[in-house]
Amino acid sequence: MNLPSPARSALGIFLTLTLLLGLAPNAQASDPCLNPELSSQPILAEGRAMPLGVYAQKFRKNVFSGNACTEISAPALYCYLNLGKRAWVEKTYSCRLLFKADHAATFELLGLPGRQSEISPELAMGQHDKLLDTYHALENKGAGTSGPARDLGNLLQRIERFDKATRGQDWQYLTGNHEWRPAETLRTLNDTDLEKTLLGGTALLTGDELRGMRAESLYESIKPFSLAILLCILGFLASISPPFGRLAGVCMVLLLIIEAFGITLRVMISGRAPITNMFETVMWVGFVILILSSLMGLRLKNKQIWAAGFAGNTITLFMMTFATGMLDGNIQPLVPVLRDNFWLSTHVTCVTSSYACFAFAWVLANYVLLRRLTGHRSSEFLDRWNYVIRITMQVGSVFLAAGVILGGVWADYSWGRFWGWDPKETWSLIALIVYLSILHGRYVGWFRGHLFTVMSALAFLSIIMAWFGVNYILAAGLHSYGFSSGGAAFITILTLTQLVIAGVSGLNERRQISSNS
Amino acid sequence: MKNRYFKWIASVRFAIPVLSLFAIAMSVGTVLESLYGTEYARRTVYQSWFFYGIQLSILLSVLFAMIDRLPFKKRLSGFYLIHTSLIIIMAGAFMTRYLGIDGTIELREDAPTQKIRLSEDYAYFNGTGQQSSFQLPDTVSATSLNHSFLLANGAKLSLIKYLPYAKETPTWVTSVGVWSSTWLIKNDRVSQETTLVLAPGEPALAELGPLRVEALPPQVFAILENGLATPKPGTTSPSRSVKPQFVLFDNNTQKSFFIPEVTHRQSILGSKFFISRQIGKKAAVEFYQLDTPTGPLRFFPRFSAKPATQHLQVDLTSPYSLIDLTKYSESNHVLLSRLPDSSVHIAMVDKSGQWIFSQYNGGTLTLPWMGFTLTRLADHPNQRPKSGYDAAQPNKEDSKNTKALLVHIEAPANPKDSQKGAVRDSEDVWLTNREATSSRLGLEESFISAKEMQLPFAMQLDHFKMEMVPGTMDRPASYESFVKVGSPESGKQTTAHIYMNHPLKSDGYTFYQASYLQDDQGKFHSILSVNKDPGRPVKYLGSILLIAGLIFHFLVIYGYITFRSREVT
Repeated sequence: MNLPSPARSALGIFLTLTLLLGLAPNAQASDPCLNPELSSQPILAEGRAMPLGVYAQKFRKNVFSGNACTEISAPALYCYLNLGKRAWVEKTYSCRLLFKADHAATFELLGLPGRQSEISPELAMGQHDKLLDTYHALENKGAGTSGPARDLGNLLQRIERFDKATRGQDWQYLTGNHEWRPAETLRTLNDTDLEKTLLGGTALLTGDELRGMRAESLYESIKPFSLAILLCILGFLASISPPFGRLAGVCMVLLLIIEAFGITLRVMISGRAPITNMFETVMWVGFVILILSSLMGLRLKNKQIWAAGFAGNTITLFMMTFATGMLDGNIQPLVPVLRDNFWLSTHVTCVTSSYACFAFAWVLANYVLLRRLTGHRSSEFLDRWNYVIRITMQVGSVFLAAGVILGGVWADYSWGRFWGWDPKETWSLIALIVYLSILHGRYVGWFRGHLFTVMSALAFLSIIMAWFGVNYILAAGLHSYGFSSGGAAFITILTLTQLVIAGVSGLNERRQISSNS
Repeated sequence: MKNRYFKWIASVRFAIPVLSLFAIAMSVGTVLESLYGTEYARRTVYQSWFFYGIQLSILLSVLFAMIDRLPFKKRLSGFYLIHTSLIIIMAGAFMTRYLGIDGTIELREDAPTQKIRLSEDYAYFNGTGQQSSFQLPDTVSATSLNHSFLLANGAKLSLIKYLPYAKETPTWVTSVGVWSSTWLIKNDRVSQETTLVLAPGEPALAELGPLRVEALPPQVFAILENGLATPKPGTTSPSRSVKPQFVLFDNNTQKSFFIPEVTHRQSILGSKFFISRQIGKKAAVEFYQLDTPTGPLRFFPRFSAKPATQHLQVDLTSPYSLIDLTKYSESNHVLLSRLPDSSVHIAMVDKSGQWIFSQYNGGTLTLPWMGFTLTRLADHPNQRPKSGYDAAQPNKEDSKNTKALLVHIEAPANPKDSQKGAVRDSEDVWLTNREATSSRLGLEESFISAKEMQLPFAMQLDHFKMEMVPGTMDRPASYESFVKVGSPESGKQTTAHIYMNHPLKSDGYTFYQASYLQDDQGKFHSILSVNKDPGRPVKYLGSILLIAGLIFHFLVIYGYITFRSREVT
């Protein structure tokens, strides 16, 4: 062929383009699964309405291994799976969808030797009965919470979720007369109807629902509490280095705004007070610590109080971000007894705010103990901080007393008794009595100076017990909406660390006194 | 009046140790609750004299501390208010405890009820038309009792001991001709311990899913072994498709006969008995008729080995059993028998339809189905189990705990043998909260149960509604009871809607949605907690004063409220 060279290259480009367009799956512009609108569509899953994009992200993260078809977005992948197009996806994107699993015992059971982290769905589903039998056998042996059993349990859940998703039974979509309908019915629709139905949900939502849906998409995309971590660490560093005092103030204001924004979004999503599970109580406590420290720091003109606030808030943010086994950040439907916004927002707010006061006093007390260990021994320093600790504890006591009483009133109102020695009630009363004893003891001069600081650090262990211990260690009683596993280790480590700090600090104090005399 | 002791009790030196004791006792209570359940913790800690003593000490401490700081100083208003409100709250709690009512009521759709259950445990004795009750001690350990009374028929009941936490442990009593043996049936998924009690002529059956283990009388088993184990030359082993084959067992003579096939009227036992296969006239039901010298007997061997009476009830007293062998090859069936030489023999039909006979010499026997194994745990020849109870570890779930009361019953004194030395008939029985107990000496349907109380009005469930979280099948979002209060006869019947956080108040009583249960017919019963609490307003008043006092106190301390007095701070 003797074509002029520009024509030849034009032809080349044309051919290449055709080839590319023909092969590229994005070429099907009308495919509803690839429509960017899809991820904001409302679906009913896990007992409440949420945007498809949010659910699809969680689904992918929980079910598949890290590198399963990352070429395709989570909503599109989820959409294809539900329409029964799994094989097509794997072929078109030449990738494989594999389950994740962590424990070597799981792979051994499936006859996969060596170190691996992925399992093909066919293999896992083919051996489902064997997996289930092994899981039950482990459970019967009392090893239901061991590593291998937990991993097996997770894999079994992945199999179930995947199976439900591929059969279109994992979620429901919204139809014209505001009814939810199972996703499997989508398969009977033709392409035009499918697109209209899949992408038409948002238009059916009313004001509040639409706002909640948008709030959730926004919450998941900016993740305010992950954003807050860096800012919080920066604020802490700035507040302990005098030249950066102004920066600390900026960080404090920004943090307060971001966290208030995050909490507001969660309220908009769930339509209730933002303190219904462990995750949210930790979140709320962190926020109140921040408010408390900023106010006290301003009033007492002391930037180090801010530092303690940043430190306390950092701890809560770290727990929320990394202790996901203990704190579940998902927004879940409420158990019947909690469905009362008035009591939820008074009783629980009071109690968690008191936890925040005591947590703040605890951070301060440990700060003082550690500074004294490292040689900062002026009695002026001790007295000044003990004054701050005392005020915080007094405010906390008022909140806790009010919270306990409001709890009694609510219990009377919904269970028919004011007080029933339920473990959660009892431990909050124990914590109140511990703090009241310390405050009374200080008043008559029993606990002064260093001893008062040690006592206020140790007293927080009673709050830890009331807050986490009842759910993670005692796990009994009527307050059964917060129970989960995995927190026992956290409580043990925290308790031991606190005892060591108190012990070392006490010994050091005794040595100092004897060397002085 | 303000002597040394008064000063001591009014001081923080008394208050702090008492508060510490209070906190320690409560934490022990919560740990005990998590280990042994709510009731255990209530009995050992929260309602113990020790715990009441601590609370009384706190009351004294609070009261004396306040009296000690009289006459009134404005600066201490918060302090007085806090301490007064604590006393008011404690008074309210006392009123609730001793004047209030706290129980549950179970409402059904088909009948009105007035019965409330309270928390105290009672033993209820029924006999010859009369009911008596006895309040059981509020204890967590086995307790000996010393209480006796007469039933209406003159029988004397003596309460021997009470086990608040009991487990059933059979004792073995001699019973000639009975063979009891305990077996463990298990595979990877399930395991079950079962005791087979073989009385003469009554096969004992244990079922675990599709698996059946049955003990047969040795005479029947011998017939099986002779008739099936060694097929006669020219005949094949019976398979799944054979016609019904039977063994007839006569308990009077302890003899049994193998009947290979019943086709027409045929004689057995030297023409004394005839057996025939018949079809019922009205309903086409197949049965077998045995003509005995005393008259005909009808057997429905698919249903029971014992013959049926005229009213089609199983006649357990009949000495004859017709045992259908076909069923042994249809399901996964293991047959056991203890022969007169004390050896235990086993028979089963394997997957190919062949009868397999073997002797069991201890150890674990592997069965051909689903990986099941069979192990003998205990052997009790010539003994039968009698139900008995031993003290047990409390279970964390209160509803799983068994309470048991041992009662010794002596038969009424017979005036004829009033001379000394005559032994009166007597029996030991256990009353439990699980099922009603009766005795041949006049005790009927007696049991342990929570104390009952009558409401002044009747209530009935109209319907019960449970809503699930949208899109789920097993996560309840709400429980709701629609109830009728009062009765149409009294002329006052109203309806009410009770659900979580929305109680019903009626006649001083308050009803809260607490729980529900579903009966055998699938009907819902609603369980409400019932409560009458005269201490309620007192506690609420105390609570409001306490919070006000706390806030006021701290406002004074930090100088937000000042007084123009010259009191020394």
